[in-house]
Amino acid sequence: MKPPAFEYYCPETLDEALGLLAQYGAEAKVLAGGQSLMPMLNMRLSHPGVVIDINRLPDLNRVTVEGTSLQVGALVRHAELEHSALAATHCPILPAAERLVAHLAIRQRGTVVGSLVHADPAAELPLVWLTLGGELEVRSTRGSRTIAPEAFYLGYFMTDLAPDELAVAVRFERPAAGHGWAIEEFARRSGDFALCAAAAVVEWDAARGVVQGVRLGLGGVGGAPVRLDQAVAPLVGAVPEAELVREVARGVGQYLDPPDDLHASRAFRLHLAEVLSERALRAAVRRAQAKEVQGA
Amino acid sequence: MKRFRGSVDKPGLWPRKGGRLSGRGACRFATQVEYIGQRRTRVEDARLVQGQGRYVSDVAWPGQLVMAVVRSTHAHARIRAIDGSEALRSRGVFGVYTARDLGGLNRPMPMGIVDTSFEPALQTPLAADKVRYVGEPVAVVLAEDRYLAEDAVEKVRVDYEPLEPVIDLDEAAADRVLIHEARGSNVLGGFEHTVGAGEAALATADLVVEEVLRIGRVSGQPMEPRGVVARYDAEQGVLEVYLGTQSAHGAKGHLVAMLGLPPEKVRVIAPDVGGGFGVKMGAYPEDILAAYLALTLGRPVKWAGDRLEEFLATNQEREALHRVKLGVQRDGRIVALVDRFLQDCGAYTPMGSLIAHTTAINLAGAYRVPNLYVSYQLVATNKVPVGPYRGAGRPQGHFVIERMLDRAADRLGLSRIEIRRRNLIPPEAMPYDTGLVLRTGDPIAYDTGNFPEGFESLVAALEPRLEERRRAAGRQGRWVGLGVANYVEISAAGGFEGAIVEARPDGTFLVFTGAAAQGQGHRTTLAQVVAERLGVPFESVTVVEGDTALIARGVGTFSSRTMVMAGNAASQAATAMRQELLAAAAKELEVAVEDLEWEAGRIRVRGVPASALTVGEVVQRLLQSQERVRTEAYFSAKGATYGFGSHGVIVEVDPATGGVSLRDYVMVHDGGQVINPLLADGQIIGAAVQGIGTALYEEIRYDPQGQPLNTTYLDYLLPGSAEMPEFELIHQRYAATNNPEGFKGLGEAGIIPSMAVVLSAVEDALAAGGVPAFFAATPVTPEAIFAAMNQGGVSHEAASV
Amino acid sequence: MTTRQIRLTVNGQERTVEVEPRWLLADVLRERLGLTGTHLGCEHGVCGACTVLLDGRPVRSCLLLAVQADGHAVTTVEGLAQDGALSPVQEGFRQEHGLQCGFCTPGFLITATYLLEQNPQPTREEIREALSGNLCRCTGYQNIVNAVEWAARKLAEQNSAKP
Repeated sequence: MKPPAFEYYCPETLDEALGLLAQYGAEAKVLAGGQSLMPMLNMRLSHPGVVIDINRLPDLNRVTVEGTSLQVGALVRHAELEHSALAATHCPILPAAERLVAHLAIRQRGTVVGSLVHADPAAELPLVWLTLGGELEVRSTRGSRTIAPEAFYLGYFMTDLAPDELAVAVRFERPAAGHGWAIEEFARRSGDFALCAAAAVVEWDAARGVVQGVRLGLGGVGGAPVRLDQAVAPLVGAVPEAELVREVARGVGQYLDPPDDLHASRAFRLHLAEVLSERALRAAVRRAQAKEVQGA
Repeated sequence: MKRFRGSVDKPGLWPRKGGRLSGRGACRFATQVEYIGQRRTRVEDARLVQGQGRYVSDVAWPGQLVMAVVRSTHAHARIRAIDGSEALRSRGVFGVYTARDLGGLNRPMPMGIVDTSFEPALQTPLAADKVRYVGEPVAVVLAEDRYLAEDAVEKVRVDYEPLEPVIDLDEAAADRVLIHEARGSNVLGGFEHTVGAGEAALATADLVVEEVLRIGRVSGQPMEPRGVVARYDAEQGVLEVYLGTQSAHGAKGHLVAMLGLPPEKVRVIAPDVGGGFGVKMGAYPEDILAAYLALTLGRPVKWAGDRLEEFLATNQEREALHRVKLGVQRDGRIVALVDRFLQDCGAYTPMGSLIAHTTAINLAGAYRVPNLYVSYQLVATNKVPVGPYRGAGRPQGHFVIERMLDRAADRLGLSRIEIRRRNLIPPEAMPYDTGLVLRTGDPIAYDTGNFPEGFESLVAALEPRLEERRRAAGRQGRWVGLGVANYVEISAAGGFEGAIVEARPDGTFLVFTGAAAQGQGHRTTLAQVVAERLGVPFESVTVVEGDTALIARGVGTFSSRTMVMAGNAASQAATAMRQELLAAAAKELEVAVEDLEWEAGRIRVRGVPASALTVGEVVQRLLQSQERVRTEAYFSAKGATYGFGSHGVIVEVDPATGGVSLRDYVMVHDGGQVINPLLADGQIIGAAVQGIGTALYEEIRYDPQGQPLNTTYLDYLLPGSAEMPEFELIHQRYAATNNPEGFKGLGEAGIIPSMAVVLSAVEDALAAGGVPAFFAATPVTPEAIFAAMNQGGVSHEAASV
Repeated sequence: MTTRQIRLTVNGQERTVEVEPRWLLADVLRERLGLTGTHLGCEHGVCGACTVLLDGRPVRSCLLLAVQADGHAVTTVEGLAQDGALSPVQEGFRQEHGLQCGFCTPGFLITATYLLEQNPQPTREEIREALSGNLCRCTGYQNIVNAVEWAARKLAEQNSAKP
């Protein structure tokens, strides 16, 4: 299990990196954290002619607040977002999700943007990105553009990123202050990819004691994470009674098309989607209400 | 809750030496020190924790070539042609070899054990015209390094004519497709044993429960993959082979047989070996090929197998299909057990009928089974060959009886604890002849132990906690259950082991043995035995293991045999050394041996303190007239040792997800005279976790085409630290009667009941939630629990989220 | 084939080595620098046996190209003992029988060393969670957790003894 031979480039400027991507395109693989690419190379499941290591590019390792977003550069490691004070303040679901990503050593090296671009349908970060909303900033010698998560994920490990494009940062929409959030997943062992995961964000109307806005996302239930705006619509403007939450959660299955695979059947995944949706929604509501009590 | 971490925390349950030993005890020799039974840290560890271990993959010789293997991508196919020309042109490649290039070498490899009970189906080093499993070696490449070798492997073109594969056991036994055509059947051997009236006795039972039990295929997965480095020392004419093996002498025998070399010209060294668990035994193609190529080419050849190869080409185990009937009386007493089972062999039978036979002789477990009938068939399938994995049939046999007892209890309305009480063999029945026989032909007669006492101590430890756990978990919508199971570990049956003790002029001692460790800590435990029997400081004894050049004869470490065999051999060699040194000292000091006393490394005349010699001085005198001061002993225990034990576990099931958490896991074990409780407990806990893996996480899966579906650690789930429970151990100590030291094997103990006990506990939890379930197959995954919930007619509404 | 010259600080020592870019850091440590204490157990980042510290943080050396470590500091198991004395974590593993075959041990030692730097008094659950990315097939983990607790106690003693 050793990588096949490839040409290795380690550009020191973004322009240089984009030039290489323009030159080699689909023949090249971008190496950031390497926690997904390197196993593929070691197992020789991938034979890129060229590897472009972006680890020495400047200025891509920052977490910043940009307007209504939390911006995470392409070289920010999972562990850095996990422990980021800015993330804890503005998008507390992100550190919580990071704690579910693989293991200690993997999180030291793997990158947030790398995980988004790798597009494993069971990964936590694409799910959270889709749930929060936001955009990916991508560059190429042709220019730059932003892509929303809804448009980015095309299917199993497939994205809208063109071969000559480099994702340089991701922006996560910051939910309103005082929102409630939750990420619930079911994995066989700590750190495993989830059989199913649910992320929820609830904005609370304290004056009326009703849900003002709600977002629910599910991962591990198909080729890409899914956001269930329609399924959760009955909660908007409603008092989130346990029965209503349960009913909403029971209804998510009709929007999903999970596969049968080695780790779980379609039926079991659909069942988990309901269970975890309910847990995530309840926990998010609880958090939102608790913040109201604290006056947060 | 109090957590016991090991024996020292619970001194009351570790009887002082001799305190509760029955049978021939350990204290036959009066010595000043008590190393046997002492909790000691290991002499192995200082090196290993500093990265100074030397494993096979660490061995590198100048000029070595690295071997990589081209493996079959088909489960069943004819090989039309192999084209290595492009590979040969690949950078850094020295050679590409197929079956044709091997000439006479490419004949069936020897079986790993002596087994004349059936005609085996044995693999050749390289597949010549047919492949029978995905992963079977078809060619090898030699190159300057592993990177270049793997480049070349990708360039070897093999033209296959695919054949229909046979994966399922029943289908294979139906012989519609033949794997070994010349044999005319996929059923390679059939056996039966009857105890008492056998199946006929079922007619007298009040209730007969019938089940089809399926045990999943698992992989041993030592953290160090297999590996070999061979070099030919032309000057000495010796082939030197570093091998990650549990049996250096066994491997040497295979090399001698395959290569046709005289035994004295082959040296096998098992350096630090990173775990074995049964899979690093027997003849593997890579070992033979590396040795052959090193010999033929005159250059060192190294193969360091990787994780993928560990999945594709290292023996696997367990898979079997049991059709079982258990007849019981209304009060729960067993009348008869009938088991007809198919043992999956995979594509070949590298270790003979060992696993199936061991399964059969474990069917009675710790219970009185007056009538028993077992028949089993060895069935070839297009899967990785089956060879021993820790337990090697013991867990399977116990799985059958323990699952059936649970089933019978449920049907009778008895508690699962009570039915076991009513069937455990009582102490007054010892020795208890089970009516079964070992492969050696010796009867299986449990010699010592108090099974009910052990089982009751387990029940007493766990039952009170069950309600407490239920209350706490109920508030979170979790269901809680208790499982219990008993076992007898039949170990160290057959063969022998040797030990040589050599005295050095500085008063220290070397001990050589063939039974090398793969983590068990023999350098520590055997030194404890020798130091005690010699009456010298522990620090003055150094154990050297795993080198066929240092001791001519040996067997190896498996079947929980080493402390019984090598331990007694070391004891006897040490005792002989003591006598030799005393005799020499008596001569030197001109007194009778009886007038001497031995204390703290000095031999002196009783009552005459000035008249004394150090051990080193005695050795120096002897060396004036002889080349070496050596004693040696070879020990073979008659029959086997029988270590009883009980496991109990309280689990918590999340009925909404099927997630299982192990809460309290208690183990009772009778290890006989234990040499080092620290290490003994380590063996037992480690084995239990492997058993939990088989129960909940691990299964090698194949698709209908025979493609293995999980060959990485992302898909094949080993137990991890976050999910494993804290174990509590309760010790019993009834010395074995078939060896002077009273040692019992214990290396496999922990894995024997852990599969059954976990399944039982999960069922009990589901029952507590109102879902009747019976798990007839391993592993019990969340998916299986989900299916049971659906089958149990419980809507998920009932399962609180 | 092109090679590159890289310079690493390994266990405090500056090392220069010429490598092919595809070579894994683990292989360069083992085969080019003679540091065979770092073990390759799975080569896909799961077992954790090859874990080393890169600039003080634990990483899989099987998922890192050696060229990526150019200019960085690497600590391997060989670098844990100081002046011939075992580190508290190493000593803890010895005292509590936290290893059997020893193959996974270097990765556990490295990870545990980092854990105790970050969290000097971890609970057993925190230890288990932190080590969940390291697989051991021998010990069943219990004694490994004991070993890390032993080391935490030892470190606390050492720190309180300091003026």
